[in-house]
Amino acid sequence: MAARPWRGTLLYVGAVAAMAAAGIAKFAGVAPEVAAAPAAEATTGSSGTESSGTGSSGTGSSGTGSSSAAAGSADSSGSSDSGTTDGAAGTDTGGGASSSSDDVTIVGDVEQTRYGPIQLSVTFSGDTITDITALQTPSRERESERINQQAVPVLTQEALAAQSAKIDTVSGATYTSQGYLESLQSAIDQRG
Amino acid sequence: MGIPMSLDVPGARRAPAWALVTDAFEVLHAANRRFSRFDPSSEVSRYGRGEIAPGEMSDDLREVLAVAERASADSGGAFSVRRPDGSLDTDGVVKGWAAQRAVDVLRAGGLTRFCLNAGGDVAAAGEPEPGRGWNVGVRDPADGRRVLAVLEVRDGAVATSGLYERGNHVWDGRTGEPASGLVSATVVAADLMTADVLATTVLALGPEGVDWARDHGAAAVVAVLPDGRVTTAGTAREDAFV
Repeated sequence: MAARPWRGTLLYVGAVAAMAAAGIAKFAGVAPEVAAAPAAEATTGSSGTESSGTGSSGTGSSGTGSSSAAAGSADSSGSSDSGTTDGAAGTDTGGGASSSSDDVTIVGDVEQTRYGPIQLSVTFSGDTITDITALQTPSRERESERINQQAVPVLTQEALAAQSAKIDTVSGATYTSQGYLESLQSAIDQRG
Repeated sequence: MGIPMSLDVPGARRAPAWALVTDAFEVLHAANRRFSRFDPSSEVSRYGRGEIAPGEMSDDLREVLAVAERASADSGGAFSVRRPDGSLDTDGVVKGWAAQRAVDVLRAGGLTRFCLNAGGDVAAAGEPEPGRGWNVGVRDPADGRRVLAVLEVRDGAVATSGLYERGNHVWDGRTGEPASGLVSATVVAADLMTADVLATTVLALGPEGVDWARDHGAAAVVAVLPDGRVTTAGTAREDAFV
């Protein structure tokens, strides 16, 4: 019973010497409009091509499945800095109204960061991620609000670019949020 | 605080690769403990306060400081681990140094085909599939969703230093002023520490740094000027640009 060869991408998050804290602080804010997308929206136009590599990391850290609220209640007014998961109803994530059996939208766990909660909604077409939407992003650092408008799309670009047949990875001066990747990872884990 | 690390290992068995990755990750954790500017008890913080005599320095700290000294000398002072206010900031060296240590763990463990991306620092080994190297995109500093060039790398490292965010974090050590001649510099070199230090230095030097880097270990350089124009040196071909 040979183990299946594995080709895939592991997503990790970890602390690295001194490089990120200042940069992270700048990416910790939120643009109010980023967090508005509802969770259960199926995407259209998915190409349905077969998975090319991001897919399941199979890390074994099966999502705790604890606080994945589908409500998409992203409070971004900057007033909620308790760091708790606002409106986390604890309801089942559910894929929502997928138009095809291959399109599934999964809501990742709400991850707490130093600056507030972050939660992603990830859409899969088969094993391929076709969209990542931020449902909740940290809202504490008002100064960084504009900066964070870039941070979430940049992170999404990296996750999506990794699936492109032409581009294996992207080099950039990116400082990214731990919470982002953990939420993404939990969505991948739930996908199985 | 976190740096995302993604690792692509084509054709590998999951379990052995997993163990290596855990070890590589521990290298990054250890570096963070030693070099965190935000932890007053880290060695670099204590050193910055003058609480560590030269003879008491760890080998890692000594090595990082030596690299910083060399980079500063090579760049005429443009690269510096001293911020304008005089405080010590080794981030520019430690990022690539620690990531390269992590890569060394992977290689020592026998991996010969992999692509590691640690917070934008990329180390590529071997070929993802026969006949082609790893295709490393260079992010467009003006639009995070776009890639402005694709570099094919087989055994090498790619690092990018940029002014993407509003707050500038790269200073020209010669003047103490924020670097402004370039908005982004990407360097391809043999290892990540070299690539990272060079990318930061090119950003600090400005446009003159693009050719300078080729004499200091850069195989290729892709830099973006404030008006959006792209300038290159080395093996980057015109048709690499998307």
